[in-house]
Amino acid sequence: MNEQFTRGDHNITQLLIKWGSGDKAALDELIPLVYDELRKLAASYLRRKSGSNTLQATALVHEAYVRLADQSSISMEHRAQFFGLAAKIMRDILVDNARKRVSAKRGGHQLHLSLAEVDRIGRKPEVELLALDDALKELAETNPKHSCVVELRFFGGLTIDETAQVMELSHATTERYWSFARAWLRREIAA
Amino acid sequence: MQQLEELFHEAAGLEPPERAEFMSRLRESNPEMAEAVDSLIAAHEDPDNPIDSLAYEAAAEMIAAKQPALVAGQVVGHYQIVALLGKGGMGEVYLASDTKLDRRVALKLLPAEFTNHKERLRRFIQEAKTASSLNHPNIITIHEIGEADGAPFIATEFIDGQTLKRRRHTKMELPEILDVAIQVAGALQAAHAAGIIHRDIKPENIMMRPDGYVKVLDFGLAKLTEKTSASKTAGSEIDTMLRGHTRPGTILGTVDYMSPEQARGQTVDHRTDVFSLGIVLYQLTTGRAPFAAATDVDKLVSILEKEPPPLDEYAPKIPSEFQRIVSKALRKDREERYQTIKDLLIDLKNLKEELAFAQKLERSNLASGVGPTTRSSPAPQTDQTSIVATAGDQSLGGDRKWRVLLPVLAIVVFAALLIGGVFLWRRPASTPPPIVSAATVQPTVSYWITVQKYRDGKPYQEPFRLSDDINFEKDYRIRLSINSAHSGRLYLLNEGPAGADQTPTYNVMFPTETANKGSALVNENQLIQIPEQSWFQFDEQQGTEKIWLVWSAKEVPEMEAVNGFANSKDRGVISSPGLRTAVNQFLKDHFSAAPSIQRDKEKKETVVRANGEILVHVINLEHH
Repeated sequence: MNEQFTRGDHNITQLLIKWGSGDKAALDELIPLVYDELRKLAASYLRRKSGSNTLQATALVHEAYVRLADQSSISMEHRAQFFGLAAKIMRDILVDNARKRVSAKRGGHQLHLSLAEVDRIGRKPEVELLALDDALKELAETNPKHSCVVELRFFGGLTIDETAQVMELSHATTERYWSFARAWLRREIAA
Repeated sequence: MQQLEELFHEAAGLEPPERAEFMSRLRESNPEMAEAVDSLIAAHEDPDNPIDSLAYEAAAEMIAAKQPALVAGQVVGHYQIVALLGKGGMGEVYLASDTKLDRRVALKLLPAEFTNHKERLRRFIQEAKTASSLNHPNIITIHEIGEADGAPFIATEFIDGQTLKRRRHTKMELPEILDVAIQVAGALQAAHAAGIIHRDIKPENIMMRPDGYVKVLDFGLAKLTEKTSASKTAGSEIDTMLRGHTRPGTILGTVDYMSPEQARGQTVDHRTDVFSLGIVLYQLTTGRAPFAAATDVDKLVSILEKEPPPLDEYAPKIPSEFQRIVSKALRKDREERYQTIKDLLIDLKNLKEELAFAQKLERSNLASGVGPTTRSSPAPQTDQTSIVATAGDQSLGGDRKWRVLLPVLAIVVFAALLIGGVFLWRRPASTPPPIVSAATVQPTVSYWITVQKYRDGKPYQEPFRLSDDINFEKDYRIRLSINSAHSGRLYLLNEGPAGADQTPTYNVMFPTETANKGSALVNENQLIQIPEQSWFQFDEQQGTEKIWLVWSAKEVPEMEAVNGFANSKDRGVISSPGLRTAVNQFLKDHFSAAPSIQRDKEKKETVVRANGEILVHVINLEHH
């Protein structure tokens, strides 16, 4: 691939610093940057894997963040902040998208077809995602750290180690938080 | 919660026998807590926990699907969305109806990030309005530029046609290319005279109506994506790319039609449009991009440094004058290029006149018997072939075509006269003789239904093929196979119950995202299977299932609008009342020209032949 990202982007760091110091508008400028990056990556993945829809999204999301953050101009301190932010942005984008889709479906006049394509029936990821977002909000009220870990792992695509680093927790603690939150959320969504 | 977490970890860390013991002890002391821990352990051990993949799946799906921002029926200002017409780097375009003035408009929704750049937005609006106010027949008319939910939109006249993008991979005949080129150059000349540079001339921005009229779109839009003066110092497009600058919006579209000065990030003037038009002309002539490369960076390098292969390498019959015109438009140094679009326009017009003259000469030669072949009468249908042929250096290919074509035409004309004569003789004189046209193909589509019987929820017997419409029982599964004899456009709609307005709802069965990649375009003898992998299933509801089959050589606007639905995730259900009515009307209008239906029992297929250019047939599946 020729899309080499070799030098830093001062823009992102500056926006991060601005955002960190309470400038809400900076976030509005950051979101399109992250989103853009994701789209570009997705396009290149799709090109490489044309014909198959096994889009390796894990790798994709993670790669996008690493690419954005792994630039010499972003200091270690900002890197951690960045991952936290990226996860938040991702959560916003996904939840927003899911909400739009659900409401679009509700608004749409569903046709009762007696000719139903068998394989089309499946679970609805957008509904599950919204339920998860709600459950995560609930978790954040009593266990903000757990919720943070989930956000970083689930929306941010970070590994346990990376999450531990960002949150300044030990590996063991992070793992404990994760495994409890994961089970708790699973139960909440199922209910 | 803290205690629950402790207990959960303790239980999760135990082997099953110990865990059972631990849990029973807990149940005795605190049954409520035990239940909570139990449910958490079950969730913990669920191998199919969506939390492990949901976000990625959702992300992937979202990115891949790129949901349109608006859905049919939604209202933006005083416009009601009818259908998604297309998506591009600069936003989505919808067919909408203007509820105030009761007319169809094209509504372009610009990405919301543009609102962040007020100054750029202002300059864009100014340019777009100025261009529109020129009132040039080849410049699209803008009705309104507004803002809805923070996203700027542009409402323009709706052009019932297609952009040249659809045609960029197929060669066009020279007369048509000249027609397009002259109209685009005319539009640009008017804009340049008003001080407006387009900056983004490319096939997507050139719209062609079926009657040959051309409209240039998106004047001034490139202004939005230009770099600001501050970032201009950052260097050329290539530099920014190599450095991985994530410029929001700088290269939103394609780099394929950039001029060298644009690629370098220099200030551009009107001559950039000359270059871009040159690329478009090259592509229309040869069916390929002059600066093709695998990546954007390579393309830019190619634009800056490489000479494209000569036109006649791919289009051997092209006149040398046309080659000269295109290569003069494609000079890398703008000082060597056509200095004004007017100069280019004059050369194009001159060439067109020369060709027309040569053609006239040829015709009169043919008429006076000097032509290369002997035949009964000149055939007007072959205008285009003859122009290309005479314009070519030796016109060898053309001669050959004539030799083959003319006898065939003579036979067809004779046959037509004969048939016409027979009909005239057999029918009362008042009915006109049927028109037999040699040029139009008779749309023919064959189809069959594959049936898989089901009993007690299991497949029963081998699947079999059917030509006829039979009675289907509950739980039968079927699959439709369709073969189009000619390349054209195919649409399949399943008719649903009528809404409050008495108009039926429709469900788009073809094309869909999974079938033919969302494109209605089918090749000659391309076999379409719907659904591709699985089966359709009949449920409890009884009655007649109507499946509309539409085939057309040309694009059908109503149906293409339907396409937008099939591509979106709402299962292809057309819910917009406006579009439902339009589709309903279309089907009614064309269904009256009933096609001939022939059931081939042997081959087990039904062959449908249209009685016109458009074929509309309904497949009835009785289900009891």
